[in-house]
Amino acid sequence: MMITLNKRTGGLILVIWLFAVGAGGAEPQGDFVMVVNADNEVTTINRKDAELIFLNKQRSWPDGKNISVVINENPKIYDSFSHTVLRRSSQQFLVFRKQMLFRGQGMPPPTLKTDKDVVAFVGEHVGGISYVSPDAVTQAVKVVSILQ
Amino acid sequence: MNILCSIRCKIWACGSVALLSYLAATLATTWVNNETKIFITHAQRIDLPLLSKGDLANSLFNTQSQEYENGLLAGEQVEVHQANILHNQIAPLLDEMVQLSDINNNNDLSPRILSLRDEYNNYYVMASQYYLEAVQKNDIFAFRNEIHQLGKLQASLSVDFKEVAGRLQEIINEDFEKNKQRIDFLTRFLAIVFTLSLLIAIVVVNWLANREIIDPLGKLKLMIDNFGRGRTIEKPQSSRRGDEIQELASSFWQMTSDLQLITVSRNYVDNIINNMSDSLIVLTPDLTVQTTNHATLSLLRFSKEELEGRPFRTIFSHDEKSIVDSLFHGFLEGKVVANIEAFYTGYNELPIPVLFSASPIYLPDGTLQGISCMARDISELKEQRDNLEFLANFDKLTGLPNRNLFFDRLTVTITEARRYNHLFALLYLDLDNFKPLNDKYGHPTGDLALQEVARRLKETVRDSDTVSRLGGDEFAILLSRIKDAGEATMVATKILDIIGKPFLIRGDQSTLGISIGICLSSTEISNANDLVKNADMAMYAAKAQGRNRFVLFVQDQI
Repeated sequence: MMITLNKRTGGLILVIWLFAVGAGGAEPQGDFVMVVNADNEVTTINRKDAELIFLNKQRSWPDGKNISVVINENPKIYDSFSHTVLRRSSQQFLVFRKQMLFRGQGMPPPTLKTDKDVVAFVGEHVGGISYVSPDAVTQAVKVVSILQ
Repeated sequence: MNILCSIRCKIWACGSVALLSYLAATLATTWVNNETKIFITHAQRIDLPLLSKGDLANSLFNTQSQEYENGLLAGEQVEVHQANILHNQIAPLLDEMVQLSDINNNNDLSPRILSLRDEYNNYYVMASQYYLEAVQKNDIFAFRNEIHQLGKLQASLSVDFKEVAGRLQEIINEDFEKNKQRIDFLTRFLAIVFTLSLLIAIVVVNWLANREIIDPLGKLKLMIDNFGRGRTIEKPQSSRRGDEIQELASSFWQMTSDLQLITVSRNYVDNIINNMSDSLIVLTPDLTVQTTNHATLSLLRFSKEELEGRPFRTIFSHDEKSIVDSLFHGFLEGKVVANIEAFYTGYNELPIPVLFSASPIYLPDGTLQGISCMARDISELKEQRDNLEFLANFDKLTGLPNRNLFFDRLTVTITEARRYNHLFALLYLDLDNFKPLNDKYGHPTGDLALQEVARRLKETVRDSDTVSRLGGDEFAILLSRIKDAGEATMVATKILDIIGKPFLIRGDQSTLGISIGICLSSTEISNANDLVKNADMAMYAAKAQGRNRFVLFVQDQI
């Protein structure tokens, strides 16, 4: 079952709007899509699950595979992702990751600077998950829709 | 126990027991106080500093961690430096805690603090290096592995610091609790020690006092009581030399023995007094009978109760009443009376002649305590004496005064007649023909005749006159006071008449005659012998004139 996300779907816009209203922060600077390894069977993901995954609190997929998170520091989508999925500012997310590292609570996910690197990383890791600009998606990765 | 000889030692022994128990209680108290002091000192020097240092270390470590975190998160080197500086306080604190925990000798705590210190030092070496570098690079994730490792270490250390501080609190609480229980136990222990000491002191002091003081004194008192009651006292056994109470008992026993030798017991005196044959009466100063002996009771036939308390005047009498008064007065003045004849009056109110002596009894202060009256019953003696006196002055056959008494009375009569100038007469009588009668009937019959003559003569004269048998058949009559010669001749006539009456002797009637010579008193004759001689002459004149008649002596006529 493959679902192709249209970047202009009203649902997503609604989601983003809702988030923007809920977070009370600035407007997202760009759209992003959640991508997983192409071999991953997952097609949708709950926002909450995604938050848990990126906050290093959920470590495996339903089929038991280890989740390999990578943070995309592409400034165009980083803030948007942070606000939409994690519901906090990118700075807060950074502090969170630093704290996690400092307090030894866990190893924070690796960071990559460009969509290309991110797509490559996710494509190489079976349990990989990240977010990229929609136009950076390749066949090596699969876009999963975020359910609110 | 020879050490407990003197009374001082005995008292000291009792006191020492009490003092020893007091000392034991004091030692126990000291020991308990010392135990408490040790605990407080331990708490003051080790437990409480350990606790405060543990808390401080925990707090400093948290501050340090917070500053590292702040420094790292904010990328501020200053805060990392400040955190590093805190190490200068934490490390010495941990060192001190290690030392204190060594002294605390809690098996669990010491290795734990030691390992905490080592882990912290290791952590710090890494932290001071990597955190600073990370901040300098402004990229915490550059040393992600090291910082993650450090983070885990820091988290673990944070737990350890907290646990050590908590454990210290627990241990100290346990220590306090344990010592509280120990102090409770020691308090009970002290109470028991005090009670036991007191009980032991009471029991031992009582036992010692009884054994060493009270019992020996009780025995001594018994000895004294027995001595007071006149009982025999056994010699006290002296088992210990130098025992003062026993020596006192021995001295007392020795004194009683000596007293028995040098004094007499009341019993002894009573025995003597009661076995006396003479009467002893002790009078009070108011002259009533106080004490008597058996001899008095048997003499007077009174019971002891009847006699005691009776006025002496009702018992004692004398021929002359004035002497009694004088004697009684003399008693009170302490005069001694020796061997006077007096009379006691007994139960039957008959006078008992006694030889009486009395002497005063004085108290040591000189006041009169009483009068001791001794009396010897002289009834028999007096009787014998009266008999002798009778024999000396009276004729045994006729009971008439004999020649001695007659001459005595005659002498008295002469003296009185001369003094008062009155007349008296002496009649000299001799029986006529008495010898043939005596020869015929024998002496016993003659004696009977003489007795009859004596009786008739006495009948004839007044009671105040004296009829005397001078010897054989010779009699004399003294008419002590007469008016004139006629009275004397009248008496002579009566005598002639009454003697002339027949005598019935052994069934035969006989007659006796009597010749009488009368001599009247005169101023010329002052000699009794002369008077008798004159009367005798007159009597012979009567014989010569034919017998059975009287002749009045007239001077120069016979």
